[in-house]
Amino acid sequence: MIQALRTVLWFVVVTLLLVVAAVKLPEQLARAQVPAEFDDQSGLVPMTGVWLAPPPFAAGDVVAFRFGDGPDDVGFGVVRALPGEQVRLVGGELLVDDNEVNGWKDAGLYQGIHDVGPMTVPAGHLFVVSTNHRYDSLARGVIGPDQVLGKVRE
Amino acid sequence: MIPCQACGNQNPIGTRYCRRCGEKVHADQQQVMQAVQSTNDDLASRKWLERGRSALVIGAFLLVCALVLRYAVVPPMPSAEVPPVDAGPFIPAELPKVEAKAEAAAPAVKPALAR
Amino acid sequence: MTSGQRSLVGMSMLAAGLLLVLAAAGIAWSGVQRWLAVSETRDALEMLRRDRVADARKLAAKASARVPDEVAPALLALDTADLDAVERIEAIAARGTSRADRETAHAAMALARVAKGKAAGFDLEGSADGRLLAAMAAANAGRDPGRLKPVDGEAPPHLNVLRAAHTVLLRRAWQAGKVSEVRAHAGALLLLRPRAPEAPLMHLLVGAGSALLPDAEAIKLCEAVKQEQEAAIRAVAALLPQRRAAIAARWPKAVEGLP
Repeated sequence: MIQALRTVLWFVVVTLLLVVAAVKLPEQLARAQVPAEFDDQSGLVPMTGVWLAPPPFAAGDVVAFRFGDGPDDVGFGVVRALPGEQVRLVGGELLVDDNEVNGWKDAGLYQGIHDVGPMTVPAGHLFVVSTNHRYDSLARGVIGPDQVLGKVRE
Repeated sequence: MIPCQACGNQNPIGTRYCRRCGEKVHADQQQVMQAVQSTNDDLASRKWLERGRSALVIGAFLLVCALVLRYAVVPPMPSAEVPPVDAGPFIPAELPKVEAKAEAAAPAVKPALAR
Repeated sequence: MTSGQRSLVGMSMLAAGLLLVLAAAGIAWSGVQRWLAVSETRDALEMLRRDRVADARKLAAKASARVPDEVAPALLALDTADLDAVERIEAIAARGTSRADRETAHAAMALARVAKGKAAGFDLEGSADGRLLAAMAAANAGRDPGRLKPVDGEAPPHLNVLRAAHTVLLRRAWQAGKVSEVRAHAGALLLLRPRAPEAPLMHLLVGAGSALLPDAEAIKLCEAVKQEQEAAIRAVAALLPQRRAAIAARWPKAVEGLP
């Protein structure tokens, strides 16, 4: 009789645990709106030798982003403008909301043209500039939310 | 089980002397058959219990695996994006009538920042 | 416990175990479907970035069939020219759990309606989308759209709302002969998508509209335009009288009949 009670009790406990897990787990995971590339527990993932952290991003963060389908199509750059900010190229200088960006190096894109824009960075997108401009926003446009892998941790 | 006629103790099938009082155990054919049947039922019920327990454990394990797959392994859906619309051509159908000398060139705005 | 009771408990547990296996199979199946849908939606976004709109729409439609309640694939699969399909998005948006997705769906519906010359139908006040769509509607109706000056604290615009608004406003400014406005809208489109098929034309408009660019460089920019080159060069010549002589030397037909 005791064994029967124990079996039934075990059964009830397991069922209750499963029901709680089935109801609560989706809620908890829905709250964690971070890209799948990140480990939910630590918020970090090792990738191409660097550690990445999830959003939110700020101007000056170095981010990794995909620019193609291939596993090696990953670029790195500095976030220069966030959604809603205005980007403008004036006389070889980069202006974000009319403030000059330091550490910017013009690589001759739009050469001879002294005033381009202004362009508002769309929702969810980032304006990212890298050193050689091959894969950054100046060469390929704003980086979409599905392209950003995360920011490089110091 | 075979009951002892002397003390009533239940002895396993095949016992010749009672395990409690030592009296010889007599069992008729019907009693032996009943005892065999009862033992078989007992074994069968234990098997059912074992099967049930295994099924429950396997089911629970698979359910946990499925929940992990569904809610932890599957990547999140990308955020919704407004689809492109056909906003028409860039070049206007009707060209501007700007006189060659009437309007000056676009102002030569070389900003102060220009090097 | 008698053997009968024990058998009953065992059989109940077996039945419960089988039910758990069935539930696990159902959840795993939905997980696999969702995984495929996420992958297809990401591929569709990548295709959109490469201007393969029809392929992106097809892929997103497959994803949307797998997860009918998700707003992201439903929006990507949307044929914005079909207003009946646009209206059906509202039901999906209402089921969507994310507020941001609902707002995006409303912006998409409003954009599709405004592009068809209808009223937006949604109050998008406080967002840049609302301001851009109002300017677009005004330009389409032949009214002055005003200046596209961002307002502090407004929600940033969506990429395709921004593109559509700049396209409409660029065309209107071009037609009106307003060079500085044409340069501003072309510059915004160029910075948004420097690799888009229209980018060489935008580069030409920004460059040729600047008095600092020599004619020889402007001609090089004209040569880089591949889509509707003749019409584009003629329209640029019509907009920029100071470039007509240089254009006439290279493409004499382009300036024929211009004042």
